[in-house]
Formats: sequence, structure tokens, C-alpha cells
Amino acid sequence: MRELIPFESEYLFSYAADVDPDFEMYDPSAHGFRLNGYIVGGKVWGPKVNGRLRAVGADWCTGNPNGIQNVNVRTTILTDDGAKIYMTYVGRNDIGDHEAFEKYKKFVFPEQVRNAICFHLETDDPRYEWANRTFIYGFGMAKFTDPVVVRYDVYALKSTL
Amino acid sequence: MSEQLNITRVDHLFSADVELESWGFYPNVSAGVRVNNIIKGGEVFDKEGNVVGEVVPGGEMNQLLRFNGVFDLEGRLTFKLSDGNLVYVPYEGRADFCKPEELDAFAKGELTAPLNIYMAVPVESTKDEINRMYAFAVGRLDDAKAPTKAMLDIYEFECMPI
Repeated sequence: MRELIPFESEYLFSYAADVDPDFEMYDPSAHGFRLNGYIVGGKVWGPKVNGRLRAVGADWCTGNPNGIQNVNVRTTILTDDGAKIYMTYVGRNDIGDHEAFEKYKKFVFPEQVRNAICFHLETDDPRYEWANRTFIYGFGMAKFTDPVVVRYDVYALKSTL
Repeated sequence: MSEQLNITRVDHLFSADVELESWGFYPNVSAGVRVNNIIKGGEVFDKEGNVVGEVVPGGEMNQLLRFNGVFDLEGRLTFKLSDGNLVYVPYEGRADFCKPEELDAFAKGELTAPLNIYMAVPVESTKDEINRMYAFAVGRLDDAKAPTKAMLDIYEFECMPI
């Protein structure tokens, strides 16, 4: 038996994405459904990154009949100090049972959807070189209000072994 | 938009000690230096150290050292739990290894070291509750160039409702 590997999480930044409410629903798809939601902007803030989301990219997510959605996002952060950071992430959320899945396809959304996410960041700016070298994960909350609110908190995962 | 952080949960799911056979060292592929490893077996255990399953032989854990000195990780493992359930553990991840100017030394076999590894793990299972989880893993390879053992600690995590 061995000890678990010690690790710590460092809070990096949060962001709120502005999402075009004109979602594209593909039903059926091989996955169950596909729901494409396009990013039209957003704000980024926190101890390591501050700036905005470019009005590019989307969540090209898929939903499975058991109520699990697979998040799949690509977008770009433009920082207040002039760097660009390409950000992709994948993860999951649980929208509920099969009945919830059927409702979701008809745009009857749950009040909130909670995302568990892992990120991949890339930049050519030496001030943010850590972003190329760090494993990053996060927690997200989507609220289907008007407008839709999508908010993530992003952390670095670091072994202390 | 509230400045308050989301409420979160991170819980240990499984740990595994994975035995590897390092069989494919590619010092000069288009994207960097590739290190491919076959899974020979291993043990799966809970956070108290109780063995709860085995690592099925035959998957792979592969690393690609990019030109900036950071490994891209990808692999596919299967755990067979003691209760007969299967857990499929595909992953992609990242591991910071060296400076860009040290890549040639790694390719020539002049530089190696243990490697801290981190992965995103979209687990799948015959046990339905596991299909609803998303996980990350923190781990360690005993050697970056010719690993014989990987330690993996897998954690499920979620954003809590408000």
C-alpha cells in the first residue's frame, strides 16, 4: 500500500460566457442529441487572468440518453494586457434522467446545469507561459435564465510529491 | 454576475498502481518525442489502501513530448473491480517535463527523470453511477523515457447546486 499523492489546487481565474440563445439542436444524432451553443463574448477575472472572451467559439456539446451531456468548447481569451490564450475544454454534466433528456431536446431546460471540466490552454505570450505547462480543471454553472448565464471557476492542479 | 466562487466537491474514486512495459521510444516524430507503453497489469485500491480490483493487461499509456518540453498524455486503461464491474479509464493530460532546449537530450537518452502526470478522465463503467461522474487524475511515472510503473489517484469532482 502507498500513500495517496499529495496535491494542491490553485485558483487561477473565473469567467462568465455570453451565449447566443439561438441554440442549434441536432436531434437525433449518433450521441443522442447535439446542441451547439455559440459564444458571443464574456468576462474573465481573477488572480492570474483578467480580460474578455472573444466573440468566437462555441460549446459543441452532445447529450446521451441517460442524461449525461459531454461538454466540448473552444474559444479564445484576450487578456487586458494584450495576450491571447486559446482555451479548449471538455467535461460532463448531468441533466437528469431520460425524461429530462427528452425535455432538453425540446429546449425545456433544468434550472441549472453543473459542469465538471478539464481545460487545455495555449498561448505564445511569455507572461502566461505557465498556461502551457499547467494542468487545469474547473467547475461550471449554467443557468437557463434570460439571458443564459454560464460561469466557470478555473484551478491549476499541482502535485506536491 | 456574482464574484463568489462556485461550491465544489472533490472525492477520491480509485487509485491504481500500473505496471508498464516501455516498448516504443520514437525520438523524432513530427510532433516531438513519443514514448509508448503497454499496460502489463496492476492493482486498483481505495483511499484506505484496500485492494478493490485489478488493472486489466493490454491497454496503453502513451506520452508525446512537445517542442516546448511539455508532454501530452493519452491512454486507455481498464479496471476490473472485485465485484465484477468494469471501469474504462480513457484519459488525456499534460505533464511539464523540461525546457525546450533540453528536448534533444531527452531524444538522445541523455536526460530523464520521474514525471508528475495529470489527466482528464471521462470514466465509463458497467456500474451506472460511475457513468455519471467526471474525474481527474494526479499521478507519477517512475521514469519519463522508459517507465515501468505509473501511480494514479483518480478523483471525481463536481460543482454543487446552489
